[in-house]
Amino acid sequence: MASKLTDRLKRILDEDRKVLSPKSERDLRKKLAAVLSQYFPIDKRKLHIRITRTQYQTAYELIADMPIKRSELEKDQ
Amino acid sequence: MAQIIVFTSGKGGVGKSTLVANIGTSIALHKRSVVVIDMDIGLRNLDMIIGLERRVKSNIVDLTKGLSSLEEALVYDKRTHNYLALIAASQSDLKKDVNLFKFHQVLTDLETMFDYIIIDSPAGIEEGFNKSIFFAKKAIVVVNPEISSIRDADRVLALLENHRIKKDIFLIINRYRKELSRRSYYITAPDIINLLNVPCLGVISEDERVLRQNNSGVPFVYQSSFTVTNDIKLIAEKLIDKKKSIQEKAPASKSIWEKMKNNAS
Repeated sequence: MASKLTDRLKRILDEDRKVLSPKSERDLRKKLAAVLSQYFPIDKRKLHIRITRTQYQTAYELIADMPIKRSELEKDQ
Repeated sequence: MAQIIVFTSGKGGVGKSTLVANIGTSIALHKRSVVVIDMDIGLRNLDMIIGLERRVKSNIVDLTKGLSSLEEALVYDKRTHNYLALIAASQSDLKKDVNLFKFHQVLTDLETMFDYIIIDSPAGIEEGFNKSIFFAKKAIVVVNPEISSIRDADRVLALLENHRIKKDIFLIINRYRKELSRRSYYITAPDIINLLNVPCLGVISEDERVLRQNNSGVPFVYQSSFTVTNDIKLIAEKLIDKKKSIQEKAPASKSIWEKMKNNAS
């Protein structure tokens, strides 16, 4: 199947569409992790952010994947 | 008032001029008046694909320079009972020779004469491209199922984003081979639509007879036996009749596993 090719192209397009420099992206990730960790036990190493275009290309949107450590969340509750 | 539509791609050789010639002819065969403008200054080809090269007396550069009149520059296609007209590109001038203000004046005159104005943009994202998209109200980005074409199309979409066209941007996937869509090296139409995130007007099948038709100067839409003719006709109908559905999103994956994978990614 063509999923490997699609994934490769997706990575290329995501890279092309980046509106933040690598340094700004690192800073943003660090600050987001600092704020969010006040509310959730998050896995900072796995925090992933990307900026993509919305349909019709009229705006950008920030998508942040932030795994919450389930075991610690249950412990807190 | 005419609708101004630009066909663009970023990458060259994806079949823009072939599509402009055939979609233009198809719209004209529906008895809607349409003028196609070749903006590939210095690399004139659209006149040959339509088969009107012998009757070209003037071109878009002469027109914008005031060296010829609209009557001299417009070449009507008798096969469509003059519903299709062409304004050819100049073969000896450069893209910078088109004055944007004068080009706007030409388009304003054409708007009162035709139902549709179709602009065939040159490849690339430089001057010729910028002038071609400047006054368009609708843009159609032509893409082939290959990664370089898709990447360039994505770049063009980003440039169109900064333009007044905004929401009237559509995709046409050209030279598509459905039988290869399950091969690992082939990117499928639904994947292209998902990656570029733009509504798709249609998918045109690959057909080597298109080359023969282009060389003969008879647009292939006159050949009713070709599958591609039907693909083009459907697109032309969508352009002139908004009731026809435009594929907004790729069809849903067949298996639950694929659906889960798509949601996760």
